[in-house]
Amino acid sequence: MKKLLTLVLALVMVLSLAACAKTPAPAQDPTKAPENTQAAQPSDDDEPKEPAGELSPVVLSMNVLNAEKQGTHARNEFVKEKFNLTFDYIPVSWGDWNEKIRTWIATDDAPDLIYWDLKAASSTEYFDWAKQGAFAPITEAKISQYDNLYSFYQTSESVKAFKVDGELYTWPSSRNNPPEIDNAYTSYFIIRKDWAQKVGMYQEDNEYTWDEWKALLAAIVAQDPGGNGNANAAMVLPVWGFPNAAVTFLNAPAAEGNETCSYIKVDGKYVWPAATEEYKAAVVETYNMYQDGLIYKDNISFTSNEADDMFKAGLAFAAYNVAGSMNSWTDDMLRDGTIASKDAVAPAVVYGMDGKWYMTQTEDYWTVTSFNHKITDEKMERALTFWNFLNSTEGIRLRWLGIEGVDYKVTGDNPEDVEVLWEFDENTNSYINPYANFEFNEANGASNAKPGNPAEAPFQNELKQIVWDKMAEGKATIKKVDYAMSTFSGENKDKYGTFGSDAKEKMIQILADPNCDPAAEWDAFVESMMPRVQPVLDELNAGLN
Amino acid sequence: MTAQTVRPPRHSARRTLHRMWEYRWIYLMLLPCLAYFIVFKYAPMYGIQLAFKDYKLVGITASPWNNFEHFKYMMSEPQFLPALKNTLVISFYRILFGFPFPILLAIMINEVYMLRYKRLLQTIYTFPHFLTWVVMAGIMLNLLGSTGMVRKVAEVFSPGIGENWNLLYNKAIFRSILVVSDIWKEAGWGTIIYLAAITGIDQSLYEAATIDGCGRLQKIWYITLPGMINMIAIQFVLRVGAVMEGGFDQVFNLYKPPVYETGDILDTYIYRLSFVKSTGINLGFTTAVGLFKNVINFVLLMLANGVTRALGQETVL
Repeated sequence: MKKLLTLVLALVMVLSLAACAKTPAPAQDPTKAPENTQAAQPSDDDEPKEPAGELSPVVLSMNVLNAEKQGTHARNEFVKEKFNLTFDYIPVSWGDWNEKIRTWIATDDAPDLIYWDLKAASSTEYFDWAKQGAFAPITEAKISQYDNLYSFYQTSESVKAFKVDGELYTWPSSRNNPPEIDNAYTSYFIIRKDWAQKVGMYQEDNEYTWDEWKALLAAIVAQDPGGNGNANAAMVLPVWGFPNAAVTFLNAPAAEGNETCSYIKVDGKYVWPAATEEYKAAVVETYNMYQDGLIYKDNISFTSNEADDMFKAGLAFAAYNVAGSMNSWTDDMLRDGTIASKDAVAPAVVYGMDGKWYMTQTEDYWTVTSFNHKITDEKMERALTFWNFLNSTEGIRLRWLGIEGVDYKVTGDNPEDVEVLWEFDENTNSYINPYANFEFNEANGASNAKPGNPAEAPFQNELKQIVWDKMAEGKATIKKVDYAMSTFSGENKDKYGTFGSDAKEKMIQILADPNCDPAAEWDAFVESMMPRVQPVLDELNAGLN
Repeated sequence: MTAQTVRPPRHSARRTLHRMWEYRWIYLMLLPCLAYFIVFKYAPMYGIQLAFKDYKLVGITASPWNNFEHFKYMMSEPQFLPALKNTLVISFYRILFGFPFPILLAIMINEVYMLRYKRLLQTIYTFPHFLTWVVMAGIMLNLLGSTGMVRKVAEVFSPGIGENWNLLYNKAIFRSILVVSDIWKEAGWGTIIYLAAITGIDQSLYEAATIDGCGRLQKIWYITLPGMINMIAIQFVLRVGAVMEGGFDQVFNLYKPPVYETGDILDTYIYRLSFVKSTGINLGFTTAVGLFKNVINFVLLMLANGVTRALGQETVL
C-alpha cells in the first residue's frame, strides 16, 4: 500500500512539473490570433508563407510597454515574413521602466534592444554606462548604410549630444514633429467648452489672458455647470505636471526637457530657476489658486491617470494637455456618452501673467534604444534594417494603417496617398481601428510615428490644428532645450542633478499648508538649497562659458 | 559528601557523525531549507562590499574601494537624519500601540463562546491583511480625502469644517494615520499566532480556576496571559529586531510631500534618491544605507533578546 501511495505521489509530482513547463505563448502563434478583426488576418490566403528567403531567423529581445498586447497581429506577421524577425517582449511599465533598466545594466542582463525613456537632463547614467562598455556603438560607418536613419543621424541635435568620444551608443527615436511645433510641449488645456459657454465666458478664439482664465475657473467653481456637486473640479493636472503645469509652466522661466526646474542662462550665466523672482511669483500664484479651489485639492494624491480619468468622466472642467491627447480623450468621451458631440470640448491657450504663451521645448526625440554590448552583428543589422524600413513610405503606412490590400490601397507616392479600407463609424465620424487593442511597440525604437495619418478622424486633426496654427503664427514663446547644459558632466552636477524634484516637493508642501506665507517659505527653501546648488552652478558656468 | 557537578556527556565528532548518519533521513529533510538560506540569504552577503565601493559594470569584486564615501555622503545629506528619526519614531509608535493590539484582540476573540460568531469575527479581522497597501491607500483617500466620507459626515455636524480639509496631508497627524491604518490592516492577522498559543493552554487550568471561583478577568490575567507570555516575548524580540523597517509599502502608498517632515522614512527616502532624483541610482550608496539599517536592527535584536532572556522568558536566539 505504501509503495502504491509513493508511486501515485511521484506521478502527481511529475505531472505537476509537466504542467509548469513552458508552453508556446499565444503571442508567438499566429494561428491563435484573435478572430473577427482585420488586424488578426495576416494574409488573404490561409497558406503559411515562408519567411524572407535568404535571411536566417533572428529573435530580438526588447523591453516594451504593454507587452501583453504585442505580437499577435498582422503587422507582426508582416515583419516576420519580410525580415525573418521576431521579438521576445520583456514587459516594463511606466512605474518600473527605468528601475528595470538600471538593474539589467548593473547585472549585465539587459535585452538585445534596451528601450529607454532617457532624458537629456538625466543622462548621467547613460554616459557613465557607455564609457564602461555597456552598449554596442552605433558607428557612422554602420548607420550610413541605412538612408532613412542616416538623414536623422546627420541632422539631429540629440545624436550630437549623445556621442561619447565621437561614437553614438543609443539611438534617439525622432519625435517626427511638424516644424511649426519646434519640438515644444504643446502646452495648453483641454476644456469643457459647453461648461464655459454655460457660465458665459467661452472665448471663440480659444485664447485666454491670465485674468480671463482665472475668472473662468472661479466661475466653474462657483456655478458648477456640470452639476457635479462636491466632486466638481475646475482644473486637474497630470501627476508629472502637478502643480507646475497650473502656473509655472505657463509663467516662469522653467526648464529644458521634461524637468520643471533645471538650469537656465540669464545674462550669460547659469542660474537655478527656482531662485528667480519669476519662479517665486509663480509659486505664490499657484498657492493662491490652490487655496481658492481653482486647482483640484485632491490632485496631490493622484498617482497615475486620475486627472485624465476625471476629465473624461465629466468631473473636471480643464485638464493640462500635451501632445494631443485631446483626440483620444474626445473619442472616449463620445463613446461613453460623457459628451454628445465634439463641440463640447475645445483647447484653451492660456497666456501667462506677462502676456506670453510659454512653451518648453523638449529634445528632438522621445525614448532611445541602445544595443546590448553582447549583441551579435547579425542581430544589430537586422534591427537597423527593420528601423530603416519603418522610416520609409511603406514602413510609415505599416505603422499608421497596417497591411497594403487589407488595411489600405495605395493611390500615390506620398505616405498619406492611400485609400483607407477600415470600417468608418458615422456616429463618431472616425475610422474603426482594427489594431486598437494591439500594440506595435517594437517599432518605437526606429522613430515615433509621423503625424498625418489619413485614418485619424478629421475632427481630431481640426482640434489639434487649432493649437498648431497658433504656433505657426508665432504666438508661442518657446523656451529652447539646452543640450550642452543637460548633458554636461561635472562632479557636483553628476551627484546632485537638477534639484527639480526638490523644488516640486517644496511647492506641494507649501500648497498643502493653508496658513503659510508662500513667498517667505519659498525664500527660506531657496536659501537652504543654495549651498548644494551653487557648486553645480559654478561648475556649469566654468565649464560652459 | 562532596557535591558533584553532573556534566552532559561530550559528543565526539565521530559520535556526532554517527548520529547524523543514524538520522540521515531527518537531516535530508533539512537540506532544502539549508540550501535556501545559503543561496538566498548568505551568498548574497558578498554584495555588502558594495557599500564601500564605487560600483562599476566590471562587477562587485573588481569595483574600486572608495574610502567610506557613501557613508560620508549619507551623513551629509540634509534629509537623512530626519528620515532616520521618522523611521525610529514610527517604529516606536507601532511597537507601543500596534504590538499589544493583536494580543488584546486574540484574548477577546478567545472569550467569545459562540463558535460561529467567533469564526466570523476572525474572518472579518483577518481579511484586510490580504488587501495590498495600494488598495488600502485608495480606501484611505476615499475616507479622508477632500471629497471623502469623513469630511461629508463632519460637515453635517459642523458646516464649514471642510474649508481647509487636508487630513491626509496634515503632517501633525500623519504618523497616527500610519499606526491606526496598520492596526486596522494587520491586527487580525497578528492574532493567529496568539490564538494558537492560547489553544495550547491546558483547559483543566480554566476548569480548576472556575471551581476556585475565578471570574473571567482573573482567568485572563492568571491563566491566558501567562500561557501566551513566551510567544509575546518571542514576537517582541523579533519586532524590535525590525525596528529600522518603517513599513515601506504603507508609507510609500500613503505619503505625499506635505507630510515628508513626519512621514518620510529611510526606505522611502532612499527610493526617492535612487529613482526620482535626476542623478540615477547609486548602488553603493543604497547598499551603505541598507547595511547601516541592518547593523542597527541586529544590535537591537541582540539587546532585546538579552533583556528578554534576563527576564526569564524564551528567546529567539
